[in-house]
Amino acid sequence: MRLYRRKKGFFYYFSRLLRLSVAAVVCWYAAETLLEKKINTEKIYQESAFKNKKMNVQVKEIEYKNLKAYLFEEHSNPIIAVDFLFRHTGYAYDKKGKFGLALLTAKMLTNGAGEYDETQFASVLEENGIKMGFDVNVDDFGGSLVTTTANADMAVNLLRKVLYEPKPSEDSLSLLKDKALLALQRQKDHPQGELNLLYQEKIYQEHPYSRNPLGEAEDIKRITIGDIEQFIADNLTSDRLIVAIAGDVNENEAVEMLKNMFADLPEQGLRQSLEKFEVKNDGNIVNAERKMPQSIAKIAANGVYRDDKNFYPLYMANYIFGESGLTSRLSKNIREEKGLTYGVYTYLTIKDSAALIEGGYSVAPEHAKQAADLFKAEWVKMGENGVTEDELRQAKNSLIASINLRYADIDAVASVLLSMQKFNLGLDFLQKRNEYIENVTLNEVNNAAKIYYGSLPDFVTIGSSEEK
Amino acid sequence: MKKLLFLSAFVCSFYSSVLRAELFKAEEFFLSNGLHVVIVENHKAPLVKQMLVYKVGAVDNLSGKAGGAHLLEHLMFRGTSKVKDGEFNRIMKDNGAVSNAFTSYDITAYHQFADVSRLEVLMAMEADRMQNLNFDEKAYEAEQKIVLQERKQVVENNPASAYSERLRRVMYNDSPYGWPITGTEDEIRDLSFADAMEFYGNFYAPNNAILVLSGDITRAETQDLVEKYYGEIPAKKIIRKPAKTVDEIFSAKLKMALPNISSITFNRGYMLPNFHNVKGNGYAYIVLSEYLGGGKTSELYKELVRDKKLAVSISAGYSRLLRSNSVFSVSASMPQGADTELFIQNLDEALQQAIKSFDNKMLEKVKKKMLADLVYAKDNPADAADLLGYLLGVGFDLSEVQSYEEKIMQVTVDDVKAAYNEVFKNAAVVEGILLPEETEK
Repeated sequence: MRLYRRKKGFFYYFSRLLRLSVAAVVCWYAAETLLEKKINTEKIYQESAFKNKKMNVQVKEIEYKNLKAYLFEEHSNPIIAVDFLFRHTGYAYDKKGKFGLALLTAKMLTNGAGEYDETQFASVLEENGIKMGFDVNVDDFGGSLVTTTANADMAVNLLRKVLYEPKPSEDSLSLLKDKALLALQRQKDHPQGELNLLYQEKIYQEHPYSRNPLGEAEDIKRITIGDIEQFIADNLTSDRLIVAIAGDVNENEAVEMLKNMFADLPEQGLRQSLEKFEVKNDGNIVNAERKMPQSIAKIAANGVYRDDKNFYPLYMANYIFGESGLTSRLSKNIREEKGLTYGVYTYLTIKDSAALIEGGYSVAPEHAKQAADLFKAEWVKMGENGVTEDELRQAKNSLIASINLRYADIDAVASVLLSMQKFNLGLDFLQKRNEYIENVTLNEVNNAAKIYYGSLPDFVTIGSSEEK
Repeated sequence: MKKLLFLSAFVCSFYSSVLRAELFKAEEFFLSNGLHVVIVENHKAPLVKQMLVYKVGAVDNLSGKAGGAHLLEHLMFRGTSKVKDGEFNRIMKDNGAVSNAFTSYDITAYHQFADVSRLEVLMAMEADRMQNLNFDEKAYEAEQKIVLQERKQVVENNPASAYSERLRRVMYNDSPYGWPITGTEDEIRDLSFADAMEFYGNFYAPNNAILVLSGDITRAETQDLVEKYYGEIPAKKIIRKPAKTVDEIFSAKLKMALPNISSITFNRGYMLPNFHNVKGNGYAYIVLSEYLGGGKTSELYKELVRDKKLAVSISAGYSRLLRSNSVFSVSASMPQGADTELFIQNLDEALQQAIKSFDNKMLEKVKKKMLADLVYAKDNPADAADLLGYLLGVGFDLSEVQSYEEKIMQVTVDDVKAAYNEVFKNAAVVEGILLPEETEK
């Protein structure tokens, strides 16, 4: 008898356990799927055949004499985009009495050049599918050129005319001034436009960043063709130029483009700089009293520059706080749960001379105080407790999963390449970026939160301050 | 082989004179439950846009319940029997998807743009809320408040919208096309939980929807998956109130002076039948609008802005995006104090002058400019989804959208002149002028 009795050894228990656990899993799985209680999105993602599609990213640096550019080749569509900037030539550098000159110059450049007058120039661009435009922001003077591969030579040639044979006419300038003056009038037609101006004035105070991006009416009226020519001579020079080329172009062709577009620029222009700015950051509230259907607010606190060791940690903290759309802490609390606002958000702003956390919201006047209090409470909570491990994991997942969205437009790719150069992110930034995000630790995020959410932001609002 | 060669030679010779590149690399098919599926290939990056368009919009709201379709669009993010409130947005975020939705008069669209590796997640989530919408009273009330705030932010807080909403009302009279998409504040407050579920039950079904997937995918890779996620959702019988016709159009003028407005806005809308029922060649109306008011090189800009300096900007457009009708529009802006009567007089003269001097050479120039940048439509895969979703949603066929270039090329000088007569001689016209309060005094 004993002979036939087998000892219940390891394998017996193991196989029983295995069978039991398989049965349990099968039952659980069957229950989940039969009752269809949940959608297992993680499983769907892991098992999807599309999971293996990857982006092949390669950014090269090309050179011609003293000129450099970043290049991203993408040959699936016959389109080429060129983006470029002249640094430290934005509207904050406009001289006293000439506020609006940089912007006016940017808009004048495509109003006729070489043998073309304004209308002829617009015709040759649109009939050949070439898009060319110039614009300024607070720091820089930027240009962009988008063309089909077939018309690339023509596009480069037209840009050459703009840069080397500008033809600013009195007639064009006078029409452009009318447009600028009308835009100045219209700026305040919407309370949000008015808030933007008030915010700049109250936050940046005496700093040039406080200026109206469109300039001043009296200055604009006085600007002459001579001013525009002088601006071009002083500022559109190769010592401050950054160039990015993306699309259906190979390395040799890109070098040729770089040379043809920019090799004849003067090498040196006027050197200018701005003082660094810091916001007061003491929870001060400025309200412009007004009866409106909705009160609107903007906020500002000090943030970090791109090369600061706290950049990624603060980026993550702020993403969780107010930048991740409807899933941010602010949105979840003030919008999704309480229904007080259609939108509440924060974002990091990095200018050459100011690094801020900025944000805003809109709210019914009777709830303005409640919304401000909730905003402040979330702010303080972030400063005191930071984020949780789960929140950080989710933020990383989201940012890592969305990396390829930046390759949707070829001109957007070009502008990414410009930022990489402007902020010295390195040629391998796009390959490394997900690592940078992944490597941020909870500790680093919460230290940054403690510093930058440690004191309340300043508020600038328009609306009624009466409480309910 | 021989036969094939012969056939292809025949096809080539037959089509070579007319065949032009299609706008997108796109294919379509239908599921047995009626879901219309369009796949657009764009392999530049591992991305995909999913756009699900329901052929129902603000015009399907009942009288007194304007805003219902739009509120439901918001509620679609508030959970299903499988996905708790807040989870939809979190899952989209976790997967790096940019997710949103919009409501227009004729369609309601839900869309996400994401890495292609997440496509199945997007489909699972979108298919789920096509049939399992389920939210509680608390979520309903919060969303109702959010929509009220949306209306305040987008409409009430914008001084010019008092004008634009009234101008719409003048154009469309009592038709639902004259109601605001958001509804009025009172209407939003009066909408109920039951209204939203009833609207959902009536109109959200595969046979009333178009699914556009655009990006790094092929039909071969995708068709079975679409079937897997959307294929088992049952079709419904869609019952609409009687078709939305706009039958009481008459010419009218609206002049409004408002505080907090600093310059003058001029609008004219020429009310025409739907794009497919318009007299003559519909594409001729598009060419006409480009010729008259498409940018700096257009006739109206050259004459009224550049030469006579009677306006600071001017444009013309032809909207074919409504099921009900189409509108040919002319808009301009002027600084405070400008002489609007003088502008209008000169506008009418400029229009007559422009059509008189329109000839073959002009036509070719306009066509060249309209077609030169079509290649850019193929750049961002999201653009193709947006365009196809919208146009198919308001009744265009895929083949028609695809042959845009050919359709424009076929337009003749006579077509454009005939379109001009329809617009400027036969159509009812609604004119609006918005100006600062002071100039009225």
